[in-house]
Amino acid sequence: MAGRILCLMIAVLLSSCAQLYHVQLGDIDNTRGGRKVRVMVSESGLNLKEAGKIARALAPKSRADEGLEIVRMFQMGPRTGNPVYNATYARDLHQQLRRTCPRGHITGITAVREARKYPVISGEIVRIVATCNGGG
Amino acid sequence: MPRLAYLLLPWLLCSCVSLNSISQTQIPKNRRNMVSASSERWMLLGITFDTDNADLVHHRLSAKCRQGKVQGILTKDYSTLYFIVVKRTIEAKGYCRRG
Repeated sequence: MAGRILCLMIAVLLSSCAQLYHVQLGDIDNTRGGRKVRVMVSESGLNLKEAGKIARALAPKSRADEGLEIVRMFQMGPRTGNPVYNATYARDLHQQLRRTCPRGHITGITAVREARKYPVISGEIVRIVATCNGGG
Repeated sequence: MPRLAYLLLPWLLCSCVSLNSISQTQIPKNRRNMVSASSERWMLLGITFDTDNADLVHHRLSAKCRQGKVQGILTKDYSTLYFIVVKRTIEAKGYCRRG
């Protein structure tokens, strides 16, 4: 019985919930046809609140959760999703998109900011789907 | 007791809306032919395992303006809360220009 519950819990913990933060559609040009291009960047995010709760549950006498609380104080302010430790992960997205369609016209740009959530960690994702018209 | 249930039911079914994101592209001079598309997703306790409806709304809007250009697109992403169920809607409106 305990084994079954454990298997069920693992299945639940490993499944990833999706969270959509922002979606934006750009102008669409259907006059020339084209092919779909897709660019995606992601970075691991860390939920320190959840990590603190787990640390407290696993070792009630340890002070690990207090340490995490102090780290959280330095991460105050408005944000989208969990904090990541590489602030420039989406910097080259524009260049990546240009590389997928070097000489063509990029149209129908759908920009999505989303996340895949797991316990404590998350995948903070930015993805762009567009149409490359000619020349690419 | 049933009276209390009748009183609670409308309160539970009424919906609060929250706007998640909004964007607008450049609006053209010719604004005659408006096209719109939307995509909805019902989520129990707000849980979902993919965000495919974001791509779906683009396909639907594009399909409404074959051989044309859709410009001045207003994209709205909002959630409607019905007690423990959340309806996530992505709505896009734009002007279709053919020729």
